[in-house]
Amino acid sequence: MQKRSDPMKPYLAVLYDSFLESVRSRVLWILLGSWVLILLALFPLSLRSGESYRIARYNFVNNGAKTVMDALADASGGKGSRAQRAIYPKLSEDFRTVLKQRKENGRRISVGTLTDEFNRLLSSKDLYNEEAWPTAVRRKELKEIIDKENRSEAETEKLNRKLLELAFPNALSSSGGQATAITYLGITLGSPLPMPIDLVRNLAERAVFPLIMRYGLGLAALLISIVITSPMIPDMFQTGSLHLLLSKPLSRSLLFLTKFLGGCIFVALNMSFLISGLYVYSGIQLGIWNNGILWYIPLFIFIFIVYYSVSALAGLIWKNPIICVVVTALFWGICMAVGTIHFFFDINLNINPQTKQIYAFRDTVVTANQQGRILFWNGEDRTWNTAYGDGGGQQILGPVWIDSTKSLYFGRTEMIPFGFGGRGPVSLEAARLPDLVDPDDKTYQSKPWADGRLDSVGEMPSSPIQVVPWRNTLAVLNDDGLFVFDPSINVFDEKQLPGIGSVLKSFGLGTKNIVSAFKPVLTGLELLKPFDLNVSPTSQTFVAISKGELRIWRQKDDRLELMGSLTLEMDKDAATVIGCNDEYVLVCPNGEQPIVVEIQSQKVVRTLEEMGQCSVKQVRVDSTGGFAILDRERKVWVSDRQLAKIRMPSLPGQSNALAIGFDSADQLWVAHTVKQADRWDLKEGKSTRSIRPKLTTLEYAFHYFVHPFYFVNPKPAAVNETIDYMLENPKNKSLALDRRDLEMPTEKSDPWQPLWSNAIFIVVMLAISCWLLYRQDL
Amino acid sequence: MATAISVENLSKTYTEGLLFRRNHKALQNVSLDVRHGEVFGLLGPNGAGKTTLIKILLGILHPNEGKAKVLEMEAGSKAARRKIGYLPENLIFPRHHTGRSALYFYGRLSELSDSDIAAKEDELFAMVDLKGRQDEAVRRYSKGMRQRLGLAQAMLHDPDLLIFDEPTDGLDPMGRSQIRDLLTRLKERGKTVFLNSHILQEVELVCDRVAIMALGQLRGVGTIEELIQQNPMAQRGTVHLDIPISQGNIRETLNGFKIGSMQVISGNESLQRIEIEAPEQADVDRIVDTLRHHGISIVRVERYRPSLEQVFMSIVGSVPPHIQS
Repeated sequence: MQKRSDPMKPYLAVLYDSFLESVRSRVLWILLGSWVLILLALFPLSLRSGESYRIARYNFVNNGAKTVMDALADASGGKGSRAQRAIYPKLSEDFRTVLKQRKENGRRISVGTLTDEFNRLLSSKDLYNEEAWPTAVRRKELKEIIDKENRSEAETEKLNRKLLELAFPNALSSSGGQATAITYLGITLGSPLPMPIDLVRNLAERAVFPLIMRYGLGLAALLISIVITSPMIPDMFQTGSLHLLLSKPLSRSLLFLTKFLGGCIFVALNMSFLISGLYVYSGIQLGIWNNGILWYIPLFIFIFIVYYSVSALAGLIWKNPIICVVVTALFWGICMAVGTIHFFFDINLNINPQTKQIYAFRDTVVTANQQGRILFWNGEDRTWNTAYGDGGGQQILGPVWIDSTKSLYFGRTEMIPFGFGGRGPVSLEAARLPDLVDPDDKTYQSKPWADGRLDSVGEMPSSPIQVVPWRNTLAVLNDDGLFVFDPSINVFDEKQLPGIGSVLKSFGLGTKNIVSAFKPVLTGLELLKPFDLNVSPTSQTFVAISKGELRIWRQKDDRLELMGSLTLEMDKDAATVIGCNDEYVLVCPNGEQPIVVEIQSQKVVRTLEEMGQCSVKQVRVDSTGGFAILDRERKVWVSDRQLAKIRMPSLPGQSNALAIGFDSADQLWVAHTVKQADRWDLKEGKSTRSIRPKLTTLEYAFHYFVHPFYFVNPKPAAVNETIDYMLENPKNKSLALDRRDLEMPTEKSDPWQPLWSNAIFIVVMLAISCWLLYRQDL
Repeated sequence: MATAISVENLSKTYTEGLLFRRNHKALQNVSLDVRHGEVFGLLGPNGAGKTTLIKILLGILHPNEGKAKVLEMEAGSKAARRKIGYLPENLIFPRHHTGRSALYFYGRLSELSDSDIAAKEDELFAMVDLKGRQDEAVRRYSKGMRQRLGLAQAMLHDPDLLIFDEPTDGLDPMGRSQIRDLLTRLKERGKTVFLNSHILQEVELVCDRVAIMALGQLRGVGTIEELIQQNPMAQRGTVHLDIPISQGNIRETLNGFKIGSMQVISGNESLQRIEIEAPEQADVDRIVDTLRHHGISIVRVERYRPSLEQVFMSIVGSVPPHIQS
């Protein structure tokens, strides 16, 4: 009598048979051969670090292109620095003509044109002269080049770039000369990219790899896998072979699942080979050892299983591989259509525009959203009315209410029509809330809230990062320091053109004599990125953090006096948000535990371990010095003035908050969840006012039709979010971020959630298949 | 005596058509028993329900009504399937197998260890005349070779019951003879064989008992002799006389006899065959005596016994038989 072996042995035999079938089939070898060819073709493609001083558009900083063109225009009239005057004659005839036209009739010059002209200048052999650049020889690296009789092209390029930087010190960023060439078989393809190799790798990891994974492997390899595996289940149903299989002591369901697993193993073999090859290529040739690429193997197989479960069910029902492919393609199409419809609804109703700031002035609740709109709550209609903004994506700083002028002030970036030349400078605008305007007040001429009819106060100090209340007025903070707005200054001596004024202004028409309305209180800080600054609610304390160095100033005799500075143990390149009262400073480096510094002793007194390694978005301080902190996980934390007790109140909007702000009564306003807001009374621990806008028709359609349908619909494409999450190198997360990145809208998403929802779908599909197989007469 | 297969009032109805549903009764109240150690033949024209019955015995189909037991176990249960060796009709082996790897694959499916399979493979390949060809790819096998490999896998785990669906399909006369020998040996070893075949001669030669099915119904069960004897043709007691043509018409000679019927059924240039209904031997003796008395030569006298084919045809009736002879 034979020994009965393990009852699982028959299933292992089926699995082994699937493997044997793969190995003995041509398809596997054709595929593996194709992958080898692709990898061999890709392998010579590599990155090489080199030296280049060429100028890129993004090298113009602080609205530098405009500054440079203005300076060159001045230079044409013999004004400006000697260096600028020396550059002007070296410009091409065409460019000088365009400059002239710009000066005379406001003709626009794109940043690209200026970049091209400057890059042409880089090869000029006689740009340097000692009179124009007397300080150049003091630089050792330049002196060596200047002293050479025969300069190489590279040396000329370097010298000229440095000369241009000296001529336009705040407009053209300094170049380290790092460039990255893309080579194939050692041959350089095109011009080297004017950026260091690490930045190119960073870009590849953040943009190119996800693109390849989503649309290269994600679509092409998936389609190939589906087509190749589609006959596996129908083949099982060939009468001659199936009946013999079913006569053996096997469970039908397990037989099916084993066959299904066999198909998955076939794909896993293929994709493991290809993706491992890509991982090795990326590491050896590009210097990117990103383990997220290897994580893509199980994630790809997971996505494949989602589709294969559909294909297998179709195979059980129709027993035809072509129908399997067609049904799977239909399934993909339906998922994509539902996902796309949901995405557009979601992005326009749910995610965008996201509230970035919330304030309450008297009883009026005002928010600023990411599109640059300022909205105020209309309680009667239960809607958010647009106070200002055309939704063009302007940046809004503030707003701040100034009682003396009964106006709301906010900084905004002026958009240049059609995006030519990027964004304009940030200007200060003044507007009035309808229910705060005194009907008898005749000083305010224009209608409040009508676009283009706001009072433009004037351009603010360059690159402002915050507009904060300062005593009875407001202050603008930038990398240079603190500038206080004088609301008493009459900023215009000429009325702005109504209606189309803002458009004309953007073309340089409708000129106004702008009087500086900002008084520098503290300047010359020269803060290096990443940095942040803040002012205590009493305006007594001013703090700044830059590259891990915290500096604290105190008000003394109408002046800010430096109390001291200390270097904090934190990642100096981490974007950081700070806030303070007059006793403590809260420093929140991105991805680290927030640090509490006592001002008096200038020592770190604790870290907020309760918050963990978090990413803080906003810090607000009330008039008593109590803190409210919003992190990018949308959680709101509150604490006493000593930051000794920190807690997360369980109130409406918690864990879903988008922006926070204290009102004059020290109640915390929390903007959350799709245009909703709540006023938290932190002492009583309850919400004292709730704002719930009524739904529009589209919102009704979204909430009661699109979203429920999307919820039950399988979402294989959502696994891409998990892939992106895995591909994103944690190192990169802090590298590219500054304070503004931290303020960027957050999408509350769990990268593992798509795995759960799709896993449920797979289980359901396989269960249906097994049930069908059990019931079916074969 | 314990039964190897016990079927009681088995009915199976297929529902066909996507929009316009139609019911097709494949089995109607079929009851039969197969005893241990016997070779049992299942006969019937296409569409009679034979394969449906086999599929129910193997658990591939679920009956609508009735019970089926195999080796005292519920038909289709895993325990029952462990003890069954099955050779399906039109067996297809996966193309990637060799004869040997296929045998191992199906052996493992029957829960055999590799050592068990290794111990038996040579004997089996020799038994089915595939020795020396076992390492060739099955896709290069002829239909007969594939059939013999199918028989080998069915016998590999030494099952108590073997269900063969058209085992000689595609085999040459030599191969058919080998299968018959194989069936005889299996019977000698006490195995129960349930044979579904179109080839009546084969069934007649090896089967202890047969069942005849038509239109989903069981029309007759028993030994071949029983089926023949039960057949009205055999019960009529017909005698065939071969008489030379030159002897003239014998009808006048036998005019005085009381016989059921007499007719010339066939003949050639020299002989005529006369069929006379005479159930009693005494009547046959008297007819022969009388003919001889009148000087009529009798070339041959034979009491007529219907063949299985004739019995089958008479049972199946008007159903197109598609029978190979």
